[in-house]
Amino acid sequence: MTERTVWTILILAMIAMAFSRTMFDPSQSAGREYVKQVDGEWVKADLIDRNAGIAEVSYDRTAGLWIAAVFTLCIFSFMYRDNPFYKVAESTVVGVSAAYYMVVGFWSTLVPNLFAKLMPGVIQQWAMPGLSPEIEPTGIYYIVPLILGIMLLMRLVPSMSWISLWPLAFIIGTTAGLRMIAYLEADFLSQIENSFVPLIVFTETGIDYWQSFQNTFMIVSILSCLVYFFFSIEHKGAVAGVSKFGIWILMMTFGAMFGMTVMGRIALLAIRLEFLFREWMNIRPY
Amino acid sequence: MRRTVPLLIAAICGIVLIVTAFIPATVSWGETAAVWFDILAAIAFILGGGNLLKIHLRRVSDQSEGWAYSLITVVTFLLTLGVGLFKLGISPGSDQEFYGETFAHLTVEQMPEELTFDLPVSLAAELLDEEIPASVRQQFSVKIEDKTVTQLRFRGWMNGGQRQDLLNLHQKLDWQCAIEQLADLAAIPDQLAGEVRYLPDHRALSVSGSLNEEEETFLRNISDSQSWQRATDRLVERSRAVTSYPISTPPESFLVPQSYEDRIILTENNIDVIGPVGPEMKAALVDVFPRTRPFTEEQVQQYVDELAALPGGLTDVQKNTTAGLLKSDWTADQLIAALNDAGVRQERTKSACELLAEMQAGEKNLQLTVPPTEPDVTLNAAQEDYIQQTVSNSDSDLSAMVQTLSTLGDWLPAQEAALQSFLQKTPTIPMRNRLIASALITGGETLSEEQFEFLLAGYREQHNWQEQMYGLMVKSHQVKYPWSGEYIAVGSPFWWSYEYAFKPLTATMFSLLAFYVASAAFRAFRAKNFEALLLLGTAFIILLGRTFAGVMLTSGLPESLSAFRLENITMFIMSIINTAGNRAIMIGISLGIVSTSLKILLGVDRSYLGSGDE
Repeated sequence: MTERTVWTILILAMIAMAFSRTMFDPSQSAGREYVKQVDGEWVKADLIDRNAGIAEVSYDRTAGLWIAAVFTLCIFSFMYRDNPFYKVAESTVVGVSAAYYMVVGFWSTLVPNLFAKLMPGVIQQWAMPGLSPEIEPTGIYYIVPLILGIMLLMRLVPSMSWISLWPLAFIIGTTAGLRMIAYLEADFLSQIENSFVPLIVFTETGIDYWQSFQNTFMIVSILSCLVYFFFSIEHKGAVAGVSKFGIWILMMTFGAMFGMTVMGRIALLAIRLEFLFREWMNIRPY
Repeated sequence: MRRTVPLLIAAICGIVLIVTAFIPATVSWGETAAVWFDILAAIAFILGGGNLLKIHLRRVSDQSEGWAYSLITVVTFLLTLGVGLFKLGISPGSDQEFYGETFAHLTVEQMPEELTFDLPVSLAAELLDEEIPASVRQQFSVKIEDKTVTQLRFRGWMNGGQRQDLLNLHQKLDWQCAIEQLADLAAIPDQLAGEVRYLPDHRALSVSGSLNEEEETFLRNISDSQSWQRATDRLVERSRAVTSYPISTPPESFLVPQSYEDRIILTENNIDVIGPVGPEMKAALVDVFPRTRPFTEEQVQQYVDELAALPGGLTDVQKNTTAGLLKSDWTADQLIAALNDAGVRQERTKSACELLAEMQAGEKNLQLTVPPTEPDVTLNAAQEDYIQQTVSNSDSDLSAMVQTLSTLGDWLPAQEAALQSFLQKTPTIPMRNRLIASALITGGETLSEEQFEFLLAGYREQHNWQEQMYGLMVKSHQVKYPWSGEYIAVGSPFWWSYEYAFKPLTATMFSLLAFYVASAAFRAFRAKNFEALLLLGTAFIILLGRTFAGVMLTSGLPESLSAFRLENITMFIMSIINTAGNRAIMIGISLGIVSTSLKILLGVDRSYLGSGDE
């Protein structure tokens, strides 16, 4: 039996199981999305709404549920190896996400922050009734980002692509200027400020030894790590020892970061499995 | 030139922003630059989309390897983009549609002279150095002579928000008094108040509900100007349009509300309404279902017995849950407390003109409020007893308690309003029963069909009636801003592509990393030396400490050794070691950012300009 045959049988078996579960689920919940109308909008209905007789199966959302489940399985199929199912899902995610971010950028940034500043009257009549139609005194300045934006789009025209360097330079320059101040304030200064903690902590009953140890340990650890990052002097003698301790702290930090990252990914995985088992196939512990 | 200009742009923009951050008057430049940055980032997404389309269309047209996948990318991209940009299937924003109101186009310039209100004043001209609020900019103007404001002018009626905006412009009493006088002058006449208003931002004269003949005559008599008469004609025509809407049998207790009797005709399967239905009218039409009231012990027991007697019965847990929920309804004591709160007399805030008069009379210690002259009204024993007895009596009409309460003791209009407001906030019996049904099926318990019917029949009726009345409201409404809906409104095609394609695909992609991180860790993390051991050990403790089993493992340790319990070790690692390491890394990163930024701004690092070979 060839590999292809085995996979075909497995996939057909999965499809058959999914359909049989959908057909014979006692609560008629598997593979279906129920909706009810609330103030004219169709929202997800729960079991109570179904028992009350006000919910109905939504065909477009049911189709969506199946598509989401199939896409999820397609992505998981990459764990075996690259395959056409994965590639279809991958191509879809590229197309949908590019368009999604374009639409979000258009409606949440360009319309309210650019067009509404330049032509408030038109935008108010068209898409933002709550906007004042009066142009702000500073509104005319927004012609600058509009021109820079058009210059940026020149990148699509090969002979004119050099023009896009100007807005790019604006982006780079403003990012450098804004980030420099922001990082100095938020990271550099505030991190140093927060590290000024008492090495010996006094309480009403005397010295809090545990808190004092924690504070001292933390400050020694920070300084040791900084010594390790200080490459202007050679790490030997006492400096090498301190730097070694700094490496140990950094290793433990990386270990903690790694642990948290793995936990985060596993949580995401659990959510996807929950989607497949509970939302799609309605398989629950009770 | 091609490379020098970008270098100069980057350097000037960056250095100017750094300098402005240290000058208080120019700090906002940074915020403006951040907005411009966002705009360019949004345009960069368009650029990204354009590039994507260009590359994949070329692959499709060349039929190069994998062109079918490129076709999928192009199709999904164009579909999502189309439905998102054109807001397909999205209803107008319900909060921006002015349901229940009819608009007639009328610009501020078309406002009749009769509605131009002038107030002679004598105010310092520098008061108007401040920017006039956007809400009144079209209607408000001043006349200035010799650095003195000699006249304030307002075109059209002034609403409460506009009055407040103008008052907020300055705290000086002479200004505020002038605005109060102007607001009184430009106030909408009593005959039209609450019905007609002018919305300058929408360039519209608006009427709520239906314009009656008296209001029409009054409106017409304001001015003979052509534009005003035309606007009035339009309001009359549109606000008296009849909407016919098919309905099922109304709820048993439904009666057309008295205040809308002249606008509604109810037939067997139809409801005809004159003019547009607004949210208040809809609320009055759907407010026909009985509301909950406190249950006595016997009533609770009777309810539980009745439900338990139906096929399927109830478990002890379900009985307790039902009784608990019935007892957690509102109580008579809560109502009494609300009425006593409403009986506290409020201080009256003095107007700016009163304060100005006091100041001009020589008063130096100005009091902003006038204390109440009469004592507070607290419910007496007879009134409290009456409330206690009435609320649990299912035959009594709670909203009619007002008449008896006012005869039993002191009673204020504010308390009457508080009573109605309190009763309005109590849930309806169908909604209470829905809550009970929902609570009874949690934890794997179930109910029989008869029990569901007992609990949910009223909910079904209430829901269906509410939706019919909503349908009536929408049908009687003329859409004013069809593009005002949220671009990602639930149920729209764009929402669909986000919910069923974008979200599951991206989440699954990231979740897949769990396997790869684990597999990479297995291959790469060998405890070859002490540092690697520390990394592995810490990761192991963190992973284990975040699981139920990990905590269980060390839960047997005695109190004296509690510091070695896994959750405490995890906490120590996260709060001390991880904080210390991260702090050092962040300090390093910030120094790195500063040096990189300086290199870019000074033109040392020019990598962003590319190789120049393009």
